[in-house]
Amino acid sequence: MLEKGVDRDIFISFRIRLARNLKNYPFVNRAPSQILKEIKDRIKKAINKIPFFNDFWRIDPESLDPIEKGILAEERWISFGFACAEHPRYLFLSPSKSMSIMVNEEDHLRLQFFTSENGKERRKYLEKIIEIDRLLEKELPFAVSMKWGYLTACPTNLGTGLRVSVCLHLPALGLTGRIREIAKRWEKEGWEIRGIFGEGTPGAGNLFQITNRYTLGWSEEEILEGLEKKEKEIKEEELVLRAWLLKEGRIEWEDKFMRALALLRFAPKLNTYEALEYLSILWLASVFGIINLIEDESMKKLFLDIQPFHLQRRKGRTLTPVERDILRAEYIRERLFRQVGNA
Amino acid sequence: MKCELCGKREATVLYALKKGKTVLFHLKLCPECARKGLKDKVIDGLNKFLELLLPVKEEKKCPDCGLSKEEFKETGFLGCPRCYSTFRKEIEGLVKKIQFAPYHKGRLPTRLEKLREERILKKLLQDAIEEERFEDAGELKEKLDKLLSPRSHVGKGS
Ligand SMILES: [Zn+2]
Ligand SMILES: [Zn+2]
Repeated sequence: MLEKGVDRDIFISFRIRLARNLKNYPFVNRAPSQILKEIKDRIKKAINKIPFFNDFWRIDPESLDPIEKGILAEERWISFGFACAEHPRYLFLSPSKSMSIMVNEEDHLRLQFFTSENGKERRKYLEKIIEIDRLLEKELPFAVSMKWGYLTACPTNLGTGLRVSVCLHLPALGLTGRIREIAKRWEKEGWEIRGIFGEGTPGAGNLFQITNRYTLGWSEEEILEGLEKKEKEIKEEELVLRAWLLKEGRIEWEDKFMRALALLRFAPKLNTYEALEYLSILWLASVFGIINLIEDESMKKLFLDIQPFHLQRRKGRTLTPVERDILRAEYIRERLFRQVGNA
Repeated sequence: MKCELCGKREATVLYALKKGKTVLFHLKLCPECARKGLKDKVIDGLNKFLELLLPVKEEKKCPDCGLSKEEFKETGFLGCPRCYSTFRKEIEGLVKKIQFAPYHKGRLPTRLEKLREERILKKLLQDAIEEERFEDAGELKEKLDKLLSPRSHVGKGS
C-alpha cells in the first residue's frame, strides 16, 4: 500500500497571470514598431512612478544574449514567444523573481506571479496580483468594457484576463495514458491539461499544466477555486493509479523503471524529452522507496538543468543538438550515479 | 415563364439586379421589355432603388485599426479595443463557443465597478417600486445614495 509522502513529488509550481491592454492603442499584433515603442515607453514611465516597483529589475530583452533569454524562458519568467520576438518590448522582474511584468507580449501587459512553494494560501497570491493591477490602473488607462471586461488581443483571454495554472508531476497518469482521457473530459468543464512545453510534446517528463480555459463568465475567485478543486481531483486519481502500478500493474511498472534506469545509466546521449521521461520514472521510484539516488529538490533542479539553454550556459557557449544530448547524458550520470562510479 | 414586367410575353432574358458583386435578385424579362427597360433606364432605376432598400454591406473594417472581418476570422486576433464593438456580433458568436458566458463576471477598474453597482441598484430599485415592495425599495434607495455620495468607497469584490 502507499505510505505517507507518496504525493510529495506532485506539486511543481503555481502561476497566475493577468492580461491588460491600454486604451487608444492597437494591440501588439497590429501595432507598428513605432507605436510599440511608444507603448513600451508609456508603461515604463508609469511603472517608474509607482514606488512598489522600485526594486524591480528592468530588462530590455534586446540587451540579453540568446542563452540568457532562453534561460529566462526555461525558468518560466517569460514566454518563449516573448524571448524570440524582435519588436520593442520590456521586462520587469521582482528581485525574488516571483513577479514579472512583460510589456508587449501578446497583450500590452502581462502580469505574472510564479512560485514553486506549496502550501501557502493561493488567494493571497491572487490578492497580491490584483493589488498590483490596481496600482497600475491609477497610472494607465486600460481597455475595458462593462460587458466584456478587460479587452485582450485574443478573445480567449477576454474578461478577467486571468489564467491560473498549476504544474504537476503525474507519472502514473502519464505512463498509463489515463491523462488523455481526463484531459478530454475536463475540456468540456472548462479546464485544459497540457504538457509543459505546449502542444506537440504531450507531457514531457510527465509534467502537466492545468489551466482555466474560460476567462469570461467566471469571476477571479471562481477560477482560482475551480483550479484548486481540479488539482485535488487529479492528485487523487494519480495516487489511485500509483497504488495500482505497485499491485496489478507491477510488471509494467518494473519494466518501465528498469529501462529508464538502464538508459539513464548507460545511454551516451539523451534528448530533453527522453531524459525528462526517464527522470520522471526514476523520481516516482524514489517516492515508492525502491531507489534512493537523489533528493526531491535536486530532482526538480535537474529537470531544469538538463534543458537546452541551461546546458549551454553551463558550457558557456552555443551547442549543437548532438553536443547537448551528449552533455545531458553525462551530466545526468554525474548527478545520479557519481557514488556508484560512471559507466 | 412570363415576363416579370409586362406579364404577357415569354421571358427569355435574365437580368441580375445587383449592388457591387452581390446579386440582390434576378428579373426575368421578354426581349421587348428588356430593350425598353434599358432604353428608359428602368432597370438602372430599379437597381438604384434596390440599393436604397437593401444596402449590401461593404467588407466590414474596424474604423480605428482597419482590421477586416476576414482577417479576424483567419487569425483569431483582434486589432484594437475598438474591434470589440466593430465585430460585436462575430465576437458574441465566438465567445459563446469558447467562453463560459458572453458577459464579464469579475473585477473592473474601480471607476467602472462603481458604475456597475449603481446600475444594478437602480434596476433593483425600479423592480421593487413596480412590485410595490416599498420596504425593499427604501433599503435599496439608501444603498444607492450611499454609493453615490462623493465620499463612498467601493469594495474589491463584485
Ligand atoms: Zn415584357
Ligand atoms: Zn480595431
